[in-house]
Amino acid sequence: MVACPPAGPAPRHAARWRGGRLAIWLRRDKLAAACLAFVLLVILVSILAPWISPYHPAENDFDMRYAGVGTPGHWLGTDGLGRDVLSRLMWGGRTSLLIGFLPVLIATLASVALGMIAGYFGGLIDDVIMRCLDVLFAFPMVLLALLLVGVLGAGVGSVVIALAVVIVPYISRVVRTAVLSELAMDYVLAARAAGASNFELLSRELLPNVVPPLLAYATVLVGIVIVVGAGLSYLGLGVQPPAADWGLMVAEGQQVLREAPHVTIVPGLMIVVLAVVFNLLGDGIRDLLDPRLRT
Amino acid sequence: MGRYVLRRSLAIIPVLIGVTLLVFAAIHALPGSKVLSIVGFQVSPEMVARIESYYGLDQPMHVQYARYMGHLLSGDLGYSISRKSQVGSVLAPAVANTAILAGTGLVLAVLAGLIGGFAAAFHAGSPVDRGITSLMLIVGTAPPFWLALVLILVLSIQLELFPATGMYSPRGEPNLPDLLHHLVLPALAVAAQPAAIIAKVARSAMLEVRGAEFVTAARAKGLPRSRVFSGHVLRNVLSPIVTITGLQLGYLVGGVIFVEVVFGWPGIGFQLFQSILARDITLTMGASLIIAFAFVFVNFLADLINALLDPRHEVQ
Repeated sequence: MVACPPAGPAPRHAARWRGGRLAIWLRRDKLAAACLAFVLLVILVSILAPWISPYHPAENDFDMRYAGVGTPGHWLGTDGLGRDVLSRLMWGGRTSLLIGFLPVLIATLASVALGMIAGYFGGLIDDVIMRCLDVLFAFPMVLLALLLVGVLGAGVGSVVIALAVVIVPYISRVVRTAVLSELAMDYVLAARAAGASNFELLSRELLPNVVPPLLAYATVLVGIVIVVGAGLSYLGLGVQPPAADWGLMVAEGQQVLREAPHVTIVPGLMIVVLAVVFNLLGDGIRDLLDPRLRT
Repeated sequence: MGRYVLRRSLAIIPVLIGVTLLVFAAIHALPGSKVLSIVGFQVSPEMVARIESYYGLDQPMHVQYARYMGHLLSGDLGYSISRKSQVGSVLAPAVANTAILAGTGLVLAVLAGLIGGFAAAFHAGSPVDRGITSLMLIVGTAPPFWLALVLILVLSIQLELFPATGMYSPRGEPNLPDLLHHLVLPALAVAAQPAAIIAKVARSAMLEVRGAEFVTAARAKGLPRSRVFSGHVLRNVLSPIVTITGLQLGYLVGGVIFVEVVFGWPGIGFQLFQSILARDITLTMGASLIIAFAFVFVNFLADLINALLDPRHEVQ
């Protein structure tokens, strides 16, 4: 292995993404396949919401207020303002998914940079980065998110930034640990011996081996971030009315909990199901990338 | 052990200083006039200058920070504009109220988590195991504010067993039975998420330890089952559970914020939320610092307990 010429990246994990590997995985891991299908369905419905939702999310029909689940024309009922819950659920998926995916994407990019620099260069740089992250770790996730949104002001943009900051320490730590263990590998030694620069080593050798295992972790985080983001909207600090958002819908449903419990139950169930699905999908991806960890 | 405690204690000091720096920087990065958020209405520029010099807002940032830290170290958290009272006296009862809620929640979570996790481990692979594991997955993932509302819907609105809001009944003297009656629903909501994760860890720890060689060896020596369980299994199972429980207490604090808002429980999370809505800078800072310090301290305690249970931790 030491004698291997360091030409090209060392795609230990990367190769697994090519060819029919994905198809084989999906056929073998039925649960993960179902989860993936569900996520894709929710994404599709959210994207198509303006065309396929039966009503406009803000359209209210005062004669139809508090309609229960199963009412013809309003299959998931209506809320206290006579708005169609199914339509609002479809539209709400847009912000909920945005709030789930975007912070994780931003945080992953930032964390890969931070974690790789800390792990690769070590010494003072590592110390400074890790001590800063320790400070972020000292805050419970919700507190930090709440504090940041409080500072930035309510709104979707603030929520995305706040949630991204909140999860950076978690991902960075994982990246750093991965880099440290990769650094001990022979292929890194070989690339060094062949005269690869720091940048080449980081981008062509380490990056392809550090990022794919992150995919499992990032997937689980999407579920967690959706829940925390919904919480911020629930508190009135995230998505603002009259926009539809699942967390906001739960908050609005709380006002009519006695008269129309489904207004609270339905969007909440949607959050739970989506979060559980991301959790299971993350497990599935982890098993795919490293079958030894299969539980 | 003494040296370990000392080293760990010293290590949290820079973290705590960092926490105060971050909270201070975040709050002072707030866009908009501080004076406006203090007095709540537009005033003349001369008045703004007077207020700024009164609160030291015209000083450089590091001087303001040093001043805040000086006050903090002498136990003074400042004055809350929205409450017209000292932050310390607003938050002291809130801390006690949260301690009651979080403490009860933690006890429930540990009990439910251990029972659920061990039950699942002893029936590993059976429908009992699958049922517990699935239930825990759902409960552990569900947003605490939504679980709280479901509890209110079922146990308060429909079955009318417990009150839905507050800590005491509005009428009559506050007393213990009344408090306990009000405590049930919020404590359940707070306990749900940590219970699920403790159960998950308890299950896998129990499965691992039961299959370990030293347990087989202890059985082979002819030790009675109860001795094997109490002397060998339990001690080794506890260590990961204590670690995760310490961490969970932190997440529990996060959940408490939501649960307190839903139930109108007058704790620190509720105060934090109110202070953010009121843009009350000093109160937000005070509440954030108390929660973050508590979080750091709890994790520190969990580490110490772990070191006591498992001396190998000291070396790490």
